[in-house]
Amino acid sequence: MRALIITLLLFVMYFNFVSAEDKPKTMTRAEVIEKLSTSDFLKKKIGDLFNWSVGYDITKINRTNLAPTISFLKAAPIKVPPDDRTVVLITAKVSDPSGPDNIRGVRADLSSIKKLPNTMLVDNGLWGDAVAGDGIYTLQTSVGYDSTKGIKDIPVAVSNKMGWVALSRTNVDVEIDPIIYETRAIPPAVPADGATVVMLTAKVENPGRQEDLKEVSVDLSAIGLEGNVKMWDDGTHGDDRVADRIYAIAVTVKQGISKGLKKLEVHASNVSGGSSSGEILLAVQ
Amino acid sequence: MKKIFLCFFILLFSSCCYAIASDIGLDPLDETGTARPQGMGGAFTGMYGDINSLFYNPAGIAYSKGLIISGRGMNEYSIGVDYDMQVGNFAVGLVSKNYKGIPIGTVEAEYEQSMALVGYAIDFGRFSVGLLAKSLLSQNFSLPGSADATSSAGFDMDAGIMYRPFDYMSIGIVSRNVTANTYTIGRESEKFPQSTRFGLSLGLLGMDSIFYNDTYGMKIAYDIENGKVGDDNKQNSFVGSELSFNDWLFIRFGGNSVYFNGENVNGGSAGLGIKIVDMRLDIASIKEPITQSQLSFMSVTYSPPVFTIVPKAEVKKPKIAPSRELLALSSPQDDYATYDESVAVEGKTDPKASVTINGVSAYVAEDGSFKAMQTLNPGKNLIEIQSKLDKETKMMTRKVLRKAKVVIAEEENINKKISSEVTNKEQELIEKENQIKKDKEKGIDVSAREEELKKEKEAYQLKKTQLYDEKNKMEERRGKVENLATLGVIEVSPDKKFEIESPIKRGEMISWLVKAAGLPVPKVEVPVFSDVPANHPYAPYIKAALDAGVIIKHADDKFRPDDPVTEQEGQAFFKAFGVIK
Repeated sequence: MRALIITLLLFVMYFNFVSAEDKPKTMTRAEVIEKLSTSDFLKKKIGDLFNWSVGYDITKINRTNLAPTISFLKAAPIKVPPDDRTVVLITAKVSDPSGPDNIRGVRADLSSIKKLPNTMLVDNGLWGDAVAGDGIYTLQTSVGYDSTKGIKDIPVAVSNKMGWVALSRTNVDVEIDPIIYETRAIPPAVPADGATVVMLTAKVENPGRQEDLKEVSVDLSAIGLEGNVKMWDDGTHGDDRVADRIYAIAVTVKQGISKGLKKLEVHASNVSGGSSSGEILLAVQ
Repeated sequence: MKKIFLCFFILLFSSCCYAIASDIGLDPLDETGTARPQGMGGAFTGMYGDINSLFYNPAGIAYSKGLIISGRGMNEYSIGVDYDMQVGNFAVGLVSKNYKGIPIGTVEAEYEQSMALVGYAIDFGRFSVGLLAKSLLSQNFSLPGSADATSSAGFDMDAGIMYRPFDYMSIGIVSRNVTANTYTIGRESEKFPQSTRFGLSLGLLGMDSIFYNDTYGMKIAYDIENGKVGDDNKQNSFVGSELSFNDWLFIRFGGNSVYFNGENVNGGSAGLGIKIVDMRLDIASIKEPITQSQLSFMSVTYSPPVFTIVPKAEVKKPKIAPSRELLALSSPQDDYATYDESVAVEGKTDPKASVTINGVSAYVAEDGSFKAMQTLNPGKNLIEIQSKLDKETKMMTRKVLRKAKVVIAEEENINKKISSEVTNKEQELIEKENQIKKDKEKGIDVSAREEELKKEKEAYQLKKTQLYDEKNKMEERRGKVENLATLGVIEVSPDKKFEIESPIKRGEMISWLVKAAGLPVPKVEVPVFSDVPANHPYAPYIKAALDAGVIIKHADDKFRPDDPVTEQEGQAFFKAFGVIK
């Protein structure tokens, strides 16, 4: 038995030896690289690779954009009085290819509204920012007294720690006077009988806070009533809904008023010193 | 006889006493007489850099500045201010003089005068010119037994020049009362007496002197004056010296010979000066030549380095915008090679400018600096940096080569071997050598060990050479691999070591050759060979080679992409791709 095992082992060893002898020689990567490197066409390519005068054209510009982005930017309210008091909230949603931690800062140039040219927006859950770390940066500011009327651009820039920056802009409309629109008489024509009720309405919007609107009134002298009568947005005096910015007053046309189209002047004023006028057309039958 | 005539004249015509004063040698517009010059005998016309020049040579105003108050009692004083206006010096002064005991025959007259001075001088380096306008404010001549004669009108000017041919020498010339104005007192009229005075000042010892000495000093001054007194010519001479023994104490001596009443009379003087920072106190005692009385003067001068009332005139340069460097790059250098995946583009621009790098905006700090990390593609990269401000644009480019970083597994092994077999062995040999030395010193026979150490060293040196040769060879190979990887011929995973001595597989070799030859690589949707499915990593390259006709299909429809390449196959592939002929 022992002799058999030894014989078998010897046979295996011999077989392996013969196999190794017969195996064809294989090439290594090193041999292929050596050969390739010395080939004419690669020698030229390698030469060109280290030639600073060759191949640096527009196709070699890496346009990978690693800049952060501003996906959403707004200023509210849109219309703001230059009172240095009414809060303007600037909100920007930013993101970065390398994640939110790569954001270095978000800054707004408020010089157009007579504030600092380099003001930081925050994402810390404070100072008007709703949630910390949600990528929504916020800034509370106001429009300076000396700001002129009109639409003012507010550029906002976000930069990241890699040194890239993205720019966007929002704007606010610096306005001091209330805006009167959608003036109506319902019904538009009434008899001068002193009994038929007509609802006079006007939609009035105030720049900044609506509550800073001081008074809305209408001149009813053309229909034989008092000069300036207050209009209401409190659900009384014929007003439908509270605080819908539609100011209303229910009136009747005094008997004896001549027929024709009457122009009733609406006047609105606010605490900032702004005022404006509009008119309600009412046909007296 | 002349004195008798003068007395007679005074008694008869006391109202024309001015003429008398002038005739006896008095000058109603004589502004001289402050402590320092008086201490030097009145020789001051050529003295440089002292506010006392206001009273001696208006040209000297150009080289001085400050304030002086000088007096002799309450009645005689001189006040002067000298301003440096950067476009010349402007000075004003007030002088009041009083002579008592003027011998006129048998009586003694008293003479008072006061005047206002306005001077201007400008220097042209070592040369200066100056003018001094003098306005007589009052004069009064009192003679016992006669009514006082007074006058408050009269104007004339002094003109002077000063020249410093050397630091130790200055020369001054003054023409007094150049216009020789005529004016009237009472019923008489007279001209201001004209004279010309020449002064020389020499620094003999001291800083700016002929003989340099930083402690002791000696200056000498000499004035000579020629003029008319009535019909007579007068010639006055003054000589003085100032000695200093340190930078704060000055001692002065002087003497003079002055025309008075038809003859020259001699006088002498001595003085002392004490300097404290920018202030100087001068006192002088003189024998007054006219009255022959002993008089004492005291002056205080204040001469700070800067004494101006008009701010220094700034040269109004045309407003040229400073050459604004719109773009300056500090990194990367042009023609820069790196293994890094990104490079810092760093530089400076105008803080208001916007910077883009390869079209993407970079953050510009408040100081105008910017730094952005620009990612690099493998191989050649062109980076365009543009700075823009208003309508001005500046662009710069940088060429950067990103080389593929390859870690060769075998090179690492060699490095490990070097570390273990060379470094450690070297340490071992040193220790052995030291031990042998110690034993040798003890007298122990170490010859056998020395021989053994020698052999060991030889073997070590051989091994070391061999390993470093291998290392060098491997580095050279790595360089070639990096070149091919940079060209995209070889794909090397950055997190894997490249085993360069491993047998190359057929599929891998074909992929290298296809990429090296630049054959178009097709999209593969069906198996290329029965053993090369469409999703095989080398399928596109094998198909490219097949399409190009550099490999052919055999009957078994097999390519054996994962089999090692035999030498014969390799040669065939090389030949097919034109690597060898």
